Amino acid sequence: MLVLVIGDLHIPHRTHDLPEQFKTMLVPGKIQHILCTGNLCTKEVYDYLKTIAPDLHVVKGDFDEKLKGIDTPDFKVIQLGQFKIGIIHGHQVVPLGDKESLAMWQRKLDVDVLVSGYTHEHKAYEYENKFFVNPGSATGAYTPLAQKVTPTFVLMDIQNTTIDNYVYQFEDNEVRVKKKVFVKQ
Amino acid sequence: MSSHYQNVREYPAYDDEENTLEAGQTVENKQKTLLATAKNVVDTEAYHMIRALDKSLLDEALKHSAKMLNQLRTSELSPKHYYDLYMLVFDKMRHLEMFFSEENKRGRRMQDLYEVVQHAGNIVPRLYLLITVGSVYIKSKEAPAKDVLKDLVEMCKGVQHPTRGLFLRNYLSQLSKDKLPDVGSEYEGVGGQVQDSINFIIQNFTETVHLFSRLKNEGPASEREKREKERNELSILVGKSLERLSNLEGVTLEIYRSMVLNKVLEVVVQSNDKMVQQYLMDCIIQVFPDEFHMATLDTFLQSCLDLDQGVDLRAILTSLMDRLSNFIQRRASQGEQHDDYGTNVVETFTKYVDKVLEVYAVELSDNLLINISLLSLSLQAYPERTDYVNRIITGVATHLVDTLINDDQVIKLTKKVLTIPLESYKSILKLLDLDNYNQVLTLLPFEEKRMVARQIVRTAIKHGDKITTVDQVNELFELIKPMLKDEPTNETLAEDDWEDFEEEQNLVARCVHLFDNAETDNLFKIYSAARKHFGQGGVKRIQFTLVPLVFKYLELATRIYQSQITAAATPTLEGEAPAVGGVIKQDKVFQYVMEILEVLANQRPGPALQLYLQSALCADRCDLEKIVYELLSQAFMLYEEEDSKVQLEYLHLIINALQGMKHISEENYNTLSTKTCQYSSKLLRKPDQCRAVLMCSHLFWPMFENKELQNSSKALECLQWSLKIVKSCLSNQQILLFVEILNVYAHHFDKKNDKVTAEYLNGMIDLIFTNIPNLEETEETAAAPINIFYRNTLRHLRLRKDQDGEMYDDVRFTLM
Repeated sequence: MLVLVIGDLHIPHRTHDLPEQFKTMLVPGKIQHILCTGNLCTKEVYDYLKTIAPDLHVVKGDFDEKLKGIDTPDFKVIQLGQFKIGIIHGHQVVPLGDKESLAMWQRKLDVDVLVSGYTHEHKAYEYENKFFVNPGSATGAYTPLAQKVTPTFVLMDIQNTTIDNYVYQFEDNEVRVKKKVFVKQ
Repeated sequence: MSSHYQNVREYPAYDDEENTLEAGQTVENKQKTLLATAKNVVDTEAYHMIRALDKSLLDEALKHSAKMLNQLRTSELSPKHYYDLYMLVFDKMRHLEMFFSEENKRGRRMQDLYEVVQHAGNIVPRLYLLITVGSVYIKSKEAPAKDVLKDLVEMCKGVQHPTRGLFLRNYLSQLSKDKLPDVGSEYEGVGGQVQDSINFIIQNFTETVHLFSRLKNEGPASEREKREKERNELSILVGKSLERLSNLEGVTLEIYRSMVLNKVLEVVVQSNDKMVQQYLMDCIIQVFPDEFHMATLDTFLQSCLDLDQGVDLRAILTSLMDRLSNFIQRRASQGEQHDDYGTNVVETFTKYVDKVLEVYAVELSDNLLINISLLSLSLQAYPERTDYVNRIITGVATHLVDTLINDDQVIKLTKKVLTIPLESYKSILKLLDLDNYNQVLTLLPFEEKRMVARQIVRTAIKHGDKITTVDQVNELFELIKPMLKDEPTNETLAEDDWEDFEEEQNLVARCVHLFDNAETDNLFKIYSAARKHFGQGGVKRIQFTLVPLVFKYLELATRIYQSQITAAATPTLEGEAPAVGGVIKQDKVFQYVMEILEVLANQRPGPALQLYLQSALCADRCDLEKIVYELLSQAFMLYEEEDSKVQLEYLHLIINALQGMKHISEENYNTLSTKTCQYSSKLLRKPDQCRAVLMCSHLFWPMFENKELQNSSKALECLQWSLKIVKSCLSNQQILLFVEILNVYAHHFDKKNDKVTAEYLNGMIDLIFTNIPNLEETEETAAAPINIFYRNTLRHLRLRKDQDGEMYDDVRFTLM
């Protein structure tokens, strides 16, 4: 099962588009589910993601006030195969992006995997046998928190109790892929 | 070989009946009856002919075939019905042809048969029989093909009645098509050369065109219109010859140029028949290869100027231009070299198009259609030649300028003139180089202008065009003005159009990210230019357009600051001036940011609050403390006016922003963090108060960005304060809050807040334990998630103990 994890696109506020190289990869018919950490900012971007895979789960980012009529809760818990996955944008997490604070949300939502965004910095790590994923910003959108933002998104290949977590990074005009494996105990 | 020129003129067989002026319906009925009778005779005579053929009674068969063919002597049938009859006879004649062919195989000399059939009494049957035998005669090769063909085409002159002659010549053309001497054909050599075939076809073509033109004047003037319609349906008969010519292998480009095209054009021009000219010019375009057209463009176009008044030159010109465009596109996609067309197609066409537009009264829509084709052709053939496009668009502008555009067709076409270069160019920057593009654009009605403008912006975004100068910004914004500004006629925006409008403004917003320049001063000027334009867009637009500009300014400020840091860190050689950045410094940029935010704050305070926080973080990274404080205090003021429903969410953002400050002074931090704690305790709902105050504990511990600001006592105060607030919450709200508080205590403990001791953790654990006495039994109730949360928390603490054992020694797990 292929799951796209993507977010913090910030079109049109902070950037005009996804890198062309990402767009050519994100085509319909390959991906089953999309988990989106929010900050799509406009309905056009929501509609665009919907074309990649109709099963789209979006939570509300801090710049999503214009997404009227679209179901964007503050957080969402879904079951994919044997994994219970929680999604949250992350601006509610204090201190932002903090490992312990995110872990508290993981415990509260009682999930195996917690997906969050906001920092525009990709992360994937295991903590107390739970998996934490931040897909970063797919457009490499500006944030005052970082000097340089690299466009990234994540593809998770879920098989039984294993997640193969691939992060796609667009850097120096090419796409690089890194893999991390998480096994649920 | 002998031709029988006695009896050459045939006499109409049934011309004694006067054509009376009857109602159309009656005429049609009469035609049907006539046709039915004639077909009946054909069937009967054909039956007898076939029977005679079966018995090998040649004379008998020829007698019946002549009677059958006699039906084609009629002058009564309209061309349309005559065609019907002809087709029937044509089929029947195949039996005879087959018989001749078999006779030939049995040893009969075709020359003899050729003599025999010339004895038929009337010219029409005689010539049909001659052509039929002649075709077998050629196949037998008893005589050279060219001689037989020449004889036949000469003899056909004997029939001068338009309808009868036209079909007779068509018969000749059909039966001879596979027997023409041609390069590589079996009739080449003794049979003749391709030149003989060309002469034969052109002669037959010339006569066919004459006959066809004369059809126009047959019959009463009152039925002229109907006749022209019928004639139009028959025009395919005149085009056949051109198809035959193009099918000849021997017609190479050289032969086409020297022997074919001029003759064909001469016939066409001299026909003085509008319909013939229109049809045949198109035929030439369609049947001959594009390479030929390329090499003979001048000749072809020159003769267009000689055609009769009333011929639709627009149709001919656009048809040829479109064909050549496609041809060039095909060649290009096969990787063939551009610019190598032997001739400059665009300049050649331009020369004739100019003449046509000058001499003829060309309708505006036709004028535009011609220019559209020319535009496509030039973009296809010479994509780099902006001057061609410029010239065409300038031409269009001059033609349009005196005209008020209110005709739908003209609007549609004018729009096309504008969108063709847009679709062709891989960048909109080339568009900005066209002098009169905007002049044409402004002639369109507002809605149409707006649609083109959107397409321009979409194209720019799609190709990621870099807009690098103030001039380019001004030029681009001039083109897309309908998106940036209302026109007096378009002031109100209907509610249901809002979504559309929003989409449009988002496009403009995306445009801002295309601005680019290596020099920060230049970039600042570009943004300021954009700011001026956006300022004229009115309240409803700036909420979309100014937001991206704020972020661009923030990026710019960071860039200026970073370059200063880098310059300061780079040692300069003695005598060398230190590297100087731009004139515009980061604080100047922030003045602009604050000015924009003030405008936005009046329109949309919520988003403005967020932008103030983002800007404050940026200013902090640029080490601009006073500005940071100003920005944050503005954000706080907006917070105070916010609705209580959203205040908690904004508090999250405020706390995170404060927490993320690197360079803020202790004094300012104290003021702002104290204020934030007060806000938290004043939230409307108790659980919200509790959570917000709990979060405020992180305003003091741990401080990742600035350890100086850490204050363990204040952090503990917040924790205890939140616990106090729980007491005033409803009892069913309490347990969850307790667990949350435990988690935050644990967080502080883990991050080594010296005031948060194991005792506090133990206290919380006790408290929760006494409040959830039936931990196991509530599994299925609403409290279940809280129990799970609690168990997860305890698991976490245990894991921490396993990891950092010593520190967790005093935490009591006995009650778990």
